[in-house]
Amino acid sequence: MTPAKPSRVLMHVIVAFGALFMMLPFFWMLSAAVKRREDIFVLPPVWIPQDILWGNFVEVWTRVPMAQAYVNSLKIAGTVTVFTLLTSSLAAYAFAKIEFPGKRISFATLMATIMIPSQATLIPVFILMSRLGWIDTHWPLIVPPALTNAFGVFLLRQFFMGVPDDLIDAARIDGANPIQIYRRVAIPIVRPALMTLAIFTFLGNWNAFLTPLIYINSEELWTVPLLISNFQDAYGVESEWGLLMAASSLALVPVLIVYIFAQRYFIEGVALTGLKG
Amino acid sequence: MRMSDRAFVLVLMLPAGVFLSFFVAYPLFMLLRDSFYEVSLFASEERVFVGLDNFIYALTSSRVMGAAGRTLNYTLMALSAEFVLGFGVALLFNAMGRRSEILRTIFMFPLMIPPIVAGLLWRFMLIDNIGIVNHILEHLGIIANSSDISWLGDRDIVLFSVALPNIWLTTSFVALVLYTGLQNIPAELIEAAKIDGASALQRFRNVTVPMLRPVIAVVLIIRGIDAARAFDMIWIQTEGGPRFASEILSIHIYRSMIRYGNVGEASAIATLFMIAMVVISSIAFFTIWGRGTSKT
Repeated sequence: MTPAKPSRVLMHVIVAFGALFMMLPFFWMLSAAVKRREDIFVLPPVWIPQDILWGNFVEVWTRVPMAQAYVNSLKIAGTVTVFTLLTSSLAAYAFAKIEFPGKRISFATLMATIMIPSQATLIPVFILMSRLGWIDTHWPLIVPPALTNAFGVFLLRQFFMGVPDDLIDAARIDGANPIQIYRRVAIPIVRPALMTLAIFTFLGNWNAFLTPLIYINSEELWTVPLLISNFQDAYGVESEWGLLMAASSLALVPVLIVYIFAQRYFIEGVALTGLKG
Repeated sequence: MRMSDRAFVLVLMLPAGVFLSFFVAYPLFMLLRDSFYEVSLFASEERVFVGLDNFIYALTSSRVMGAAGRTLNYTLMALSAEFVLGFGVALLFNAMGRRSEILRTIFMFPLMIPPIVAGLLWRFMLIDNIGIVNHILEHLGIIANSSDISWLGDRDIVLFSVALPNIWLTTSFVALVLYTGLQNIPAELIEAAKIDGASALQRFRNVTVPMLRPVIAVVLIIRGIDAARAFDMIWIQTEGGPRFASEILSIHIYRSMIRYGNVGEASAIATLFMIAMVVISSIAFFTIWGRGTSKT
């Protein structure tokens, strides 16, 4: 085959153009974040301002409780991630490797929960949370997602099913108890899937907006998405786009870090969703 | 010390069991019960049984039915754009083979960003008069004046405008999943069709699409469910306005529960919404998946 068919070159150009197009909104966001207020809507648009101003980033830390929101979001997303890995892998292991009564029906039920819109369970869960006295605390944002992640159970179960039964039997004959088998034999084999789940869980909870919007009032408990939304309401949009875009850029920092270091697991995870669903 | 298998299963399943009972079964039961009562969020102890009134209200109120129609519209718009664009990109990636890796990586990034940021960013870009989108359109000669399109202010197009960030964020998901599906179609199958003299279009229609059908079903259903319950992006862009023109069911339910405290009404609407979603996704699943398996 000839290395440079015209159609092949065209294809690369189209896809590269598409990728650039996908990234343009980010550039525009960053550009607005480092501009003076009066320069943001100057026409024709200036993509790279002559003098880059970091003032908006400084103001985001001083004028709004960004530092606190950052700590809160990291704390919530981190805690949920750690516990989800544990709880989902336990359930997934049971579903994959142990026979017990009601297994099929409970797995089917768990998978069906993926279809339930969160707005449906919102109201009763809200009332439940208020009975527990958990309104305006971080508990409603941590406890339900930490208990189980249906997608995570599904993903890990696929991987646990690949663990050979012989390996488990051999460990049992060697005198390992079930917990040791789970920890020493099964978990090491599914480590890549755990990594994938960790990324999804962390990002999902870092990005979460509806639950903080409903449960959190106090400023010191705000998460980053809630801060951005409240900030937009409180300061009026018109004049503060630079600050809002700076805050949005800061919200992307952990996302970017995760993406740079772990995009392989992320992409594999997305691909798996379609394959084994 | 040895643990019986049964006790071990109990330990393994305990968190999932608590989750299913307290955050799925119990709320669903309560949801169903509340939908037959008139009950306020602010005084949830005082409840009055009203029979089917809440359901009748939901099905006859023009505001609720309007929101239902917009939900369907929004979902179809976002889903079809994501599917067509995503499929196109997947085919391009597939044709490029391994060399598409860097571009794939760039393409995937929007998938990870917070929906709230995506919504805000698009709101920023879509501002009438001074937004970058209208400026570019004016520059390209597509519109005469940068104030010609009021993306978020015009009730006729606002639903499309609030779908834009959704399309931007998740086209890459569709592309990636379909690309993986394409990679898994055995090359011999395409080769055999080629030897038999099938044209590129015939190969696509008679080999690629049928082979990809299960993957397509999953993608459409996952994305469809997700788009139908979209909240964050629309909320930050318009809060459902102007005058409800972008109020889809998720926003309506949120507003009638949290802002107005009408738990009964909101519950009835949520119940109907959930039933509709399950029915539509089951139908979609069996038609797309089923047709593929019966043919082969």
